[in-house]
Amino acid sequence: MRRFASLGVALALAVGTLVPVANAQSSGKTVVMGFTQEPDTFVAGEGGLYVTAVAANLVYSQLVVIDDLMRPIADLATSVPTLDNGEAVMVGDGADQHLETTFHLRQDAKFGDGTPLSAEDVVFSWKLSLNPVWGAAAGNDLESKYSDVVARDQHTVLFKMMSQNQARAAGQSSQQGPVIHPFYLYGLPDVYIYPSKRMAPLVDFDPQNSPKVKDLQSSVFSRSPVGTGPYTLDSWDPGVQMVFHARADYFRGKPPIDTIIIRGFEASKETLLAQLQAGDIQTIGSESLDVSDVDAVNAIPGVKAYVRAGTTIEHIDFNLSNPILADKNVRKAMAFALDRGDLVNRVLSGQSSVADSVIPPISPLFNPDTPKYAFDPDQARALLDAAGWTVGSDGIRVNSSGQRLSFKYQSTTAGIRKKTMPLVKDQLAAVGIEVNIDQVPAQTYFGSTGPLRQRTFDLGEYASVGSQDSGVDVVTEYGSKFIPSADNNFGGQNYPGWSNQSADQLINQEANTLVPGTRQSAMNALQLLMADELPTVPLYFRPNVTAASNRLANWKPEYASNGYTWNVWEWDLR
Amino acid sequence: MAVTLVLASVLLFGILNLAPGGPFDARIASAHIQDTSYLDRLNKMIGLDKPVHERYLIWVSGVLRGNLGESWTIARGQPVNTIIGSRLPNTVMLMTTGLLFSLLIAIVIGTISAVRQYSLLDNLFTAFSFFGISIPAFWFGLIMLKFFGLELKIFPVGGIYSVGHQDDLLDRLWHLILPMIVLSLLQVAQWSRFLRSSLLETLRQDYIRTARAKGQVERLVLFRHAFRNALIPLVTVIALAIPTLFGGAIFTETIFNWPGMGQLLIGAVGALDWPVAMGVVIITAALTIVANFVADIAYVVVDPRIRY
Repeated sequence: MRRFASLGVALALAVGTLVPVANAQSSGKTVVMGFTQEPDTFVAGEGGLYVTAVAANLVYSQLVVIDDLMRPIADLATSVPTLDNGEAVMVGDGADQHLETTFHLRQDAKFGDGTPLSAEDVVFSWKLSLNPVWGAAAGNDLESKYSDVVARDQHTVLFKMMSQNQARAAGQSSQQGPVIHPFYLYGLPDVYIYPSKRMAPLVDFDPQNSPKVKDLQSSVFSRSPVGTGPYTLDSWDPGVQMVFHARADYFRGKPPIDTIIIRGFEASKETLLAQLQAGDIQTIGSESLDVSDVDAVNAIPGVKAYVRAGTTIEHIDFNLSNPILADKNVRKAMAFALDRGDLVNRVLSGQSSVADSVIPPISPLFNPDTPKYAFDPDQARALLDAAGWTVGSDGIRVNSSGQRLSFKYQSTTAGIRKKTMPLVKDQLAAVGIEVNIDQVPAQTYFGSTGPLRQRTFDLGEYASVGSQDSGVDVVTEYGSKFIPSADNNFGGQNYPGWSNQSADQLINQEANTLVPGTRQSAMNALQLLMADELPTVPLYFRPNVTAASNRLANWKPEYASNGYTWNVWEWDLR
Repeated sequence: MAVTLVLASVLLFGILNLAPGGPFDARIASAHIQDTSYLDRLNKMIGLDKPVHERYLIWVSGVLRGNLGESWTIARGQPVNTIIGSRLPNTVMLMTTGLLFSLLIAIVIGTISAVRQYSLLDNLFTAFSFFGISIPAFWFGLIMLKFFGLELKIFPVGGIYSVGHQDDLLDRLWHLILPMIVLSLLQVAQWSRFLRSSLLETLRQDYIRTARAKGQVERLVLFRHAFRNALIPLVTVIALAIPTLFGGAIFTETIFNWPGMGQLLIGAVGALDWPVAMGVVIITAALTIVANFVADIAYVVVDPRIRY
């Protein structure tokens, strides 16, 4: 036994000597960010993993980015080109009329290898995004709406959107008028600007057609990216950490934080919270946290949880192909029966708010006059009575032909839904509506053979993540062309199957103009129409939750989709 | 052996590919993508446009040439060999030290428990074993992190090395201790009980009585005669633990943020990255089969009474 005791003492001594070594810190301002997922690639990572976008913000810049309040701000461009300031203009006549947008590039922007940014790099990146084997999924297909992107001179790029003639020649036979898109002022949103001089030889100088584009994913650039962003990725130890260093030649000047380290890939959330408490990491992002973590984060001294409503709206879609749900009064009765304020309190600990429109208030296209469905079970009962549904012996309503008012209520197995769905079930049961909860894994639920795309659900709950422009989102979500079917390869997101002529007109009106006032009035009317027609009932905003040390200045995670590192160049330590 | 491996690979490949949807389905559904051919394009890029049996044959021919394919999602486009290569040393380091540590402690505890049967120490060890067998690794791991990492601050809160200490061996060892202890708890509990019963049985044998009757010192009776025979059943148990040396420990690695094979597997399965998941699983399956074979041979070597 004595021998083992001495072994224990030796072990303790060994540990004791190790501790000070490991606690030594490197010099300079360093921020360590905790991720629960590892970014996948720095080439073709666009539109993919959220964590990839968050990390890519350190390395790449874009022409125009979006800030915390959903406003466009110039990044590599010297200004945001708009119709108002004359840098975007309609050119040509009749069926040849098209939109041309001019971007003036900053002359002081350089790639991480010292090469100055040129208009050719922008053209190269656009062509690369069009390659049929390219793995990058942009959140929109803006890049395919351009007929050409031209380098006017070394620092000027001209984006030409397709005319009606060009669109029809490209196979879009139903195109009326010139192709336009509200994202025109971003140029290439979600597309990284790659260094053409270095990459072009790898794809035989033909980024648009070369099959070698596929090999870029396994090339050195996927792990050692070269961009014009504020940091360079100096080392990437797979599964362990990425180390980024501030660039002295960054066009906004050297960022105040010298070193940013991303760690914790595949760590459990609990481990990250413990590391935050220990001071090993200074931030945890919205990809890892939810409202249930707010109290735990705020209990850590020197750390704050940031809860932002954002643009993610949880809602229940009604499948309008179901004959019972096709009755507007049944849908309205359900909306009145739902106590959404109670859902916010009990599911989200009161940390969010009820959603009354499919468009978030942070969007300029939000209509504050959208009617609200306040919790009113009596109104719900009255509507159901009037629609011919009377309360049966077991409390569930039946109609004259003996049909029960019963639905399949599906969603994913996410924790937030495990809390929401039973509450919704109880609230609906109180007015005599039965729902049977069915939770399936997200991959199945959203998959091509899942209940949403095949439209086999009755009530389908999920969250819509808003993009930079809510007007763009509604097109694929509520336009009748986007009801998933074999014809469109189950591609649209109009899962309710809402086919409404007035709505289509308003959506067309909104989608075919770039004039803010016209878009606003169309969207105002659409929101009123949707509140009346109710193809979907918005429940609440799913806030994005992040945590950051109080020492970290300029942490602005308000609008989540741009990645909370969107302004990493101005972060500082107090 | 080869037949078992082929059957295992068919079964595993089949199960993974039976899962509905592909790695990009949910991604497409959540984005506002109007171009519906986009999903087909992505799926074609990773060969998902081909029928299952064809994909299996492509995969097998790759494996036979030592190429496990390319990652679909977790490290898009990177060779699975490289990904596994970066994780394997971490897992081997954790699991090997864990195994040796467990073995050392288990032998000590098992021996003491057998020799001092029903003593206070034996009862304590018995209680400890039940604790070790019953307690879930993820919970015990979190408690250890909280107590030793956050409260006492004598061990790091997860990770494999501290910031700026990538090449510091001592720092890496310091990070190794807590996960190693958590990992060893179950093994120590099981193996010590195993050794205790085996040793107790051996100590009741006639040849032990003969040794004592010869006037042999008790310590020599124990170590020369009893101990060596009692270890024989343990050989099988340890041989079967060898695959885990490479397969890793999912819970322990996740809690301690240890970038090993277990963590890789859980990440790959979550992201529907079948090439990576298949790579990890097939290596573990192959090692299990090999370890079984090794156990059989080792048995013959340590126990001359056994003949096949």
